[in-house]
Amino acid sequence: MEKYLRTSFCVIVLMTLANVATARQNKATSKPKPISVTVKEVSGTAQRLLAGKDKKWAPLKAGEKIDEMTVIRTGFRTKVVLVFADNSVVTIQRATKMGIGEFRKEGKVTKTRLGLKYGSIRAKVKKAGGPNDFQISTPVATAAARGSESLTMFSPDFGHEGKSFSGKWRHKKGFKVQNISGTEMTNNKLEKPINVTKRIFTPVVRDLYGGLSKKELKYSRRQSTGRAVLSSSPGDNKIKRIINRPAPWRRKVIKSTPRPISPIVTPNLRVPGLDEGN
Amino acid sequence: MKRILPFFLPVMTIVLTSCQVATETPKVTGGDVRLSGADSAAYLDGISSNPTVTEAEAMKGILLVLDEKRKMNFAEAVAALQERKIVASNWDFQADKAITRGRIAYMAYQAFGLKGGLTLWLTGPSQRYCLKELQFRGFMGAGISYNTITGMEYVSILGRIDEFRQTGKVTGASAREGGQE
Repeated sequence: MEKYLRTSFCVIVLMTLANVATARQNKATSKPKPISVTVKEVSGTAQRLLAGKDKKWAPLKAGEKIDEMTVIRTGFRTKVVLVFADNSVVTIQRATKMGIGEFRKEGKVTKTRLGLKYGSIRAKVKKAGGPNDFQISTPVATAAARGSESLTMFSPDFGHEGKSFSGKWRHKKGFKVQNISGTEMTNNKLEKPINVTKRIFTPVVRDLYGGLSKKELKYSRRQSTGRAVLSSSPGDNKIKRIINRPAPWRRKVIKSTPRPISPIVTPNLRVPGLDEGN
Repeated sequence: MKRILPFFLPVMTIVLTSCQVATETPKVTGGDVRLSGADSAAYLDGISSNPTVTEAEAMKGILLVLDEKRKMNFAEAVAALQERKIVASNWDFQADKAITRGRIAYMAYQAFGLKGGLTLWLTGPSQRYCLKELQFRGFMGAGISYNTITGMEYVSILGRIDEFRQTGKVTGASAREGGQE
């Protein structure tokens, strides 16, 4: 019995040791490997930052292979198409500056991290070649793909904007997350796609500076046909409010004056005795 | 009616003639300042980090969008843009002065080649109404006409002008604040 126990114990110990060794080997083999990106198409003015001490910008050419930590900038009338090793296609639009932060294989997962300083990127992520971790970061938010096509834009005046063409995209800004799919769109506030779509169809209320009162907003929403409501001068109502505001020494007096109690009008109620005379 | 007409007509003629834009020769300060010879990608990258945009830099940007490749100084750029009616004839120019949002809107409106609303149609382009029109269309963000603009904002506006000139639309503009493509 003892012999049997000893041999079985030895077998178990050997097996665990073998397991640990194979796991270590696997870990060593799954060390992230950077993969290169091919420039498929270049039209217009596009440049990439050369690595080295004296950083210089060199023109980007079709057929060129670029690595991680590459920064690309484009000018007007420009389009650059990058093909990643996992067959994902990234189109850099005009007036854009972006960088490839990471593009490597971690085990089976292809990890891609792109950074967008300004402009817009259209990404078509393919999952056929295995699982993918694809992210585009703008200065304010992040868009992550789950096997789909999308356009991510960043401009300082309208901020982070994302439009999906197919599949699901997850936009994250701080703690706020917005998932978009199909042909939905989200904006810098990461609003629900339905609210963004609503804006296209509802008449525009010109209240860019927040000068309208609730009543005015309601009225213009109902009555306006877009541009007819021109009330967006920087301080329309604010100025009026400031002008009409009573002087500080008068404010207290106004606050302390009792409001006149308005008589309750009840047109249908007939009071016997009082109404008879009328 | 017959009694009113003799008074009404002279008043209307005076009003209409006073509405016309004065055709004065513009005062250009720093006209000999050379505009940078950078290509569009380098220009956009360089300007994107600036807190404000000078008039000389703004002119260079518009000229690049219009695919003007000649190397010129500030005075020549002003003349070239006046020829194309991108800048108003009655403005005064100063090369190193920060450009305002209103002026950018005027230049962008003219470069977009848009046909504006009733006010713009009646009175012609003005800084205030060009800005309102572009904000309405979702081409420019919120702001008032006499404020300056950051370099990054200018880069995105130039990008939109370029896109509109190439494709006839601006991506995502309809879903923006006040956006009506």
